[in-house]
Amino acid sequence: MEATKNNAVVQSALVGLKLLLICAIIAGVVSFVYALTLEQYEANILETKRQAIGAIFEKDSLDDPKQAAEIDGVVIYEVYENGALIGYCAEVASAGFGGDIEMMIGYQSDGSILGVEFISHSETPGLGSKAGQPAYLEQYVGQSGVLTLGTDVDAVSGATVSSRAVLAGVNAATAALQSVLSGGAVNE
Amino acid sequence: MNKYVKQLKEGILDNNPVLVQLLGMCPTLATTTELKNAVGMGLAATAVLVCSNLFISLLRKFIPKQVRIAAYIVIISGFVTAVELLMRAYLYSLYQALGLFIPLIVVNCIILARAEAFASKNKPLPSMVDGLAMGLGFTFALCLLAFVRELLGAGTVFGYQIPGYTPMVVFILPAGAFMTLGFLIATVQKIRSVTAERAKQKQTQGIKPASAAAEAASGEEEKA
Amino acid sequence: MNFGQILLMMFTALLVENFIFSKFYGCCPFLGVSEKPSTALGMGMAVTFVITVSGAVTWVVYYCLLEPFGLEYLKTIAFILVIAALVQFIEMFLRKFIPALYSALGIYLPLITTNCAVLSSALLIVQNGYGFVESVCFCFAASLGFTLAIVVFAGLRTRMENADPPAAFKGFPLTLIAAGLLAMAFSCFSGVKF
Repeated sequence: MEATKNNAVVQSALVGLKLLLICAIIAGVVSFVYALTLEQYEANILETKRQAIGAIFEKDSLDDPKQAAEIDGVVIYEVYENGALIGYCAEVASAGFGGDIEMMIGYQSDGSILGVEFISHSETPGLGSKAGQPAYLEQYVGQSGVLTLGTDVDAVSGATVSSRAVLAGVNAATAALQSVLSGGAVNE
Repeated sequence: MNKYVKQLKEGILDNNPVLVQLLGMCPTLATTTELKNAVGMGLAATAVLVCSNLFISLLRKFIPKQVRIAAYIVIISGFVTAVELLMRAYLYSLYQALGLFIPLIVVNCIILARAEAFASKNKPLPSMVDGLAMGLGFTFALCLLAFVRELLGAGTVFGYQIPGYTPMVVFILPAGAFMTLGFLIATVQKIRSVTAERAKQKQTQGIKPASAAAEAASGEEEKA
Repeated sequence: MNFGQILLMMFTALLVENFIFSKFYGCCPFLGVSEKPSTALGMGMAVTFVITVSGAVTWVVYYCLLEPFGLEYLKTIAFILVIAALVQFIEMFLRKFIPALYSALGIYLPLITTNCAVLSSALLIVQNGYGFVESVCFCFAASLGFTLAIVVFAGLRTRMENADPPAAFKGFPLTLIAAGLLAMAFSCFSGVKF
């Protein structure tokens, strides 16, 4: 009786041990892959940002963007070409229809908008995603100050939520940039 | 060798996991707004299926019966995480497009079903071929659905615009996903019943394999 | 988040971003276990229970175990293990202490581990950066949305039993098309933002 009971305990301990071993092996493999791919992933994030900034300023020989400040979730970058400051960029996330829309907004040194580019979004393809196309985003070029939908920019028909999300993001970015510029928080 | 070809044909056509077995509905409906995403999702799931089938088959004598489901889930989720990490490093835009549906490959019923029904009882090589066959069948079904939805809903194929066509947006929306899949499976059922009928006419005596398969399929439907 | 914001978030999770009709999370049980309203309700209640509890537990696991050690990338594995163990535990607990509830929900419980609505709500909590209370409220509302969808759909399907569609559409295709129509009805909530 005692022996069978002991046997059962050994059996279930063995089962647990085997499961633990499988978990350990899998965790080890995943950790290995993680370590292997981390650098490339971080490079990807940087590269998408750099491409967005390059597309806004229509230059591909920009220096690495320099992060200047972060206010209310908006990250402000200074954009340099050959060591000379040519404008600013603001990275902002705004709640769209299918999730956050991450975008990059470029400003000239006087604070007027140079262009808006999507970094990532999950809007409905063919519908909300139209708010990420030039036809809508070009309306922002040259604007400055607080913008309103309907007067300064027209929403994409059928994609009002996405259009509104972009507008909210741009306004938040502009406000953040203004406070940085006026507060002199930008360190050289 | 011939055996493996038959296995592949089985997985892609006769016993297609989505169109015939009606498994893995969530990713099928959710990631087929664009052909590009469908291919990505299909191949990611195929990679996981092949790896998990191989691994589970290798360990089939080691894994204790009582906790086998837990062990399968750990193995599958490990491979899914590995695929996710690799995708975000080397296929970044696809990784962004598929979003939460990459980790959700873990709960794709096709993978657990193949682990339990095939890999746990067979040798490593046939298990790998089975994973490949089922994965490609999944990819094929996804592509078919995404092709129809992208063409009708956005007027594009692989992102290339079809000139002079006004898209019907409903096909991109969730409602369109359900309906397109409904019509697709109806088409498959029609084709199957026609082939079954033909087979019946051909061999009027003995066992009729095709009609037996059709009967099995209708039985599965009721279960699903 | 204050109380009003949490209410709005719950409303969004319940209707606007309904798990089934806008996100496709949990479609397998939605299409599979929706033949009768009573079984659909049982499934929905079991899912609501598991998602709400697992939301609370996975939040603790992520923020107390994974994040402090920089192991965020193991979250999928950790969450699915927690969910599988939790389902097992809930089943044992109900059988022992609340047999009435167990006999009502028991048969659905093992199916829930592979219901992607559970894993996705756990992952969404992390993705959206919700706090503990918000997470529990979100999970409760989202799973209630699942229950609503599956019960309404089951009601629809009992009506469909009398229909006589073309042979090719019998069974699953007709179910999918009905789901499509229901999704169209639910899409009137889409885009509602506060």
